[in-house]
Amino acid sequence: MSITLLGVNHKTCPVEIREKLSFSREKCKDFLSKLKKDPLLEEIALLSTCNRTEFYYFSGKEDSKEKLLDYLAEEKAIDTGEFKKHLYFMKDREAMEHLFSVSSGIDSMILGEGQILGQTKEALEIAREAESVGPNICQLLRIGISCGKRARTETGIGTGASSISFAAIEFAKMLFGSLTGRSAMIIGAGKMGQLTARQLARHNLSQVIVANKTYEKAVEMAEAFNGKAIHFDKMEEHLSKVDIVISSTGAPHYVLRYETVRQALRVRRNKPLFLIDIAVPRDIDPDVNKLPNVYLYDIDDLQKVVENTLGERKEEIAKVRNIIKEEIENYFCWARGREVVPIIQALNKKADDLRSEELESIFNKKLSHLSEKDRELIDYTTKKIMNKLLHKTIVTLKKSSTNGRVPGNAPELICELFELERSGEN
Amino acid sequence: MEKIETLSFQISLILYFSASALFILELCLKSKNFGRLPVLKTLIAFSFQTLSIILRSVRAGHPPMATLFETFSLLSWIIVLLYLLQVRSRVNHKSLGAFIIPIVFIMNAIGITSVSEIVPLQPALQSIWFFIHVPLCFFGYACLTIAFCSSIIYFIQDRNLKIKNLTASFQKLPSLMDADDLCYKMVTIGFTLLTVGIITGSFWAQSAWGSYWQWDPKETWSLITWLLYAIYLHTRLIGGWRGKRTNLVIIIGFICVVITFLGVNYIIGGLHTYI
Repeated sequence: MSITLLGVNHKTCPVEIREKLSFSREKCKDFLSKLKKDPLLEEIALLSTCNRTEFYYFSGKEDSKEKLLDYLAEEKAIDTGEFKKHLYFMKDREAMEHLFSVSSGIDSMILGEGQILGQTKEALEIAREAESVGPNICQLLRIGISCGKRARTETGIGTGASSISFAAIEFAKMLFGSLTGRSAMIIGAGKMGQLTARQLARHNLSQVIVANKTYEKAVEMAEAFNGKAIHFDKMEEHLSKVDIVISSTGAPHYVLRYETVRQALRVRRNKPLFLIDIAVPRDIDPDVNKLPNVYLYDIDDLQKVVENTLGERKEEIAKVRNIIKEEIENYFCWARGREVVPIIQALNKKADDLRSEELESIFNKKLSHLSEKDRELIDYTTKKIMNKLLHKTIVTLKKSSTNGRVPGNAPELICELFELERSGEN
Repeated sequence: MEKIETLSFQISLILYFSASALFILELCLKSKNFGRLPVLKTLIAFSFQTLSIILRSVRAGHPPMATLFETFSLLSWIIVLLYLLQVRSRVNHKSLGAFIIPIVFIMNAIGITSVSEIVPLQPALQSIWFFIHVPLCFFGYACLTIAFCSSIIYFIQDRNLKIKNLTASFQKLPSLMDADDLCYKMVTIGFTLLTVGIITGSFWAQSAWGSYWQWDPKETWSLITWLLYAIYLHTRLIGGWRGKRTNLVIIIGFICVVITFLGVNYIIGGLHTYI
């Protein structure tokens, strides 16, 4: 019986095939409900994101892999030949290490990203709703999630800014502190600009103004941000009223010139101004950065920060791997513990059954004259003897599960010595 | 009782040193995070220093503000008090400690090298004005010291933002605007206290020496200091000046504070020398 992983990710599989194999939340649940009916796959969970589709299951049979592939091909209506060469197949420790790497963010396309942790949590939720998981895969995912959390709190794997928009926001925070109550203006409709604006809008700004050469487009965008649209020629006069400007037009010339910004500063009485120029060619005259109280960032500046961040995160990978090793040991500890509990129960039961049997027989015959109190005393004493005799054995069993120093193979030996049946798990 | 007083002071000195080291390390090294430890140490040091000051007051019969040791100790105590009050209101402001606590430590270290016996008050000091004028000025100096530290942070953050570097210090220090706002707030309070301090000083001068103003070095320099901060407030409020220019005024202003507080006593001499 082992933990098995079968899947594809952005490293092994091109996006055209990956997208054919991806599952929405609902489809995930339905598919898992279907799979659980097959006794070959005892426990199964599915992690499906835009960069990976991975099945984690618990099964003892070798042909479970082929069965799962058939189900998948059938569900997605594609030929197994198409995707088989992109699959990776891992078992036990290797599979665990992979899952823990994934949840910690070191297998992601953007090193250290945080979204994957939420996606792993969701995978566990979905599998529970579909009732396709049992204790083993549940515990695996749980430890995976806890490993991901540890990686992010105990190392720097998730710190810094890993995208341009995020970097821009971090600088804005360095300038303004809390962004609550600040106002922003978005010029142009470039994609990067919209992405940054969307992230910014999450911070409780007091106002968002949108300016575009085409007024209708500005109105459309303003609705998305709960903001106000203005005509493009009014842009310069609004410049003094906002704290943050995000510019990404397609214009080949400068949209904001030195003089304009200088004037706006004067009207603003020199309150600091934060300008983000994500356009290529640039929208804002770079000389503007020389003005005091103005902080101008273009796409190269932000990209450099992102590269720095990723470089620093790379250095944290070794620490994360250590945490992963520890968490794998945690899983094995838990698994060993599960093995040992039924043995302890069986041992106690066997001993107590034997004791009760003998006592009953003798209380009915030679000692039938004894009072209730005396019987209780004998009962109590024999129980005490039994517990003391078994004490060390039980302690040894418990120790063997937590990797304490015990003679090799203690569980098997004890089962043999006490003639206990090794009952199956689950 | 004198032993307890000295011991308390020494303990607080050691703790201030330790807290300074922690604050500075935390700021300079990206991965180090000491949590509440440095502030806690500062708080404990502060408690011991309070104890030592109280014991000394009891022994002397009056609050200790006459000798070098006493003035340095009291001023540093007020600075720590203000710092601790600030830290309660905002999380990021604890990193101010990296600038403030070393100053506090140095002041106390210098203080301890000087005479620590209680000196009977000179006749000129035996007046109710002593206990009004000096504390007011000291609170003013303390506020202006914190304003100075905020200003330094302003320059650091401005540089970080201009060279576009997401350094370790950025996330731990207050933001540019937070530093600027704190500076402004501290100058407003400090300036007011200084003004009242100078006014009460001149009333005291009248009662002690018969004249409101004698252009004694201390008086002159405190006026210069006062003017500088007045310029800061004026240009900021009326002229709309902000940024590096105005913060430069803070730096110069603080140098004047140091001259007023120290330089006058030890380098120039005059009516205000007591030690």
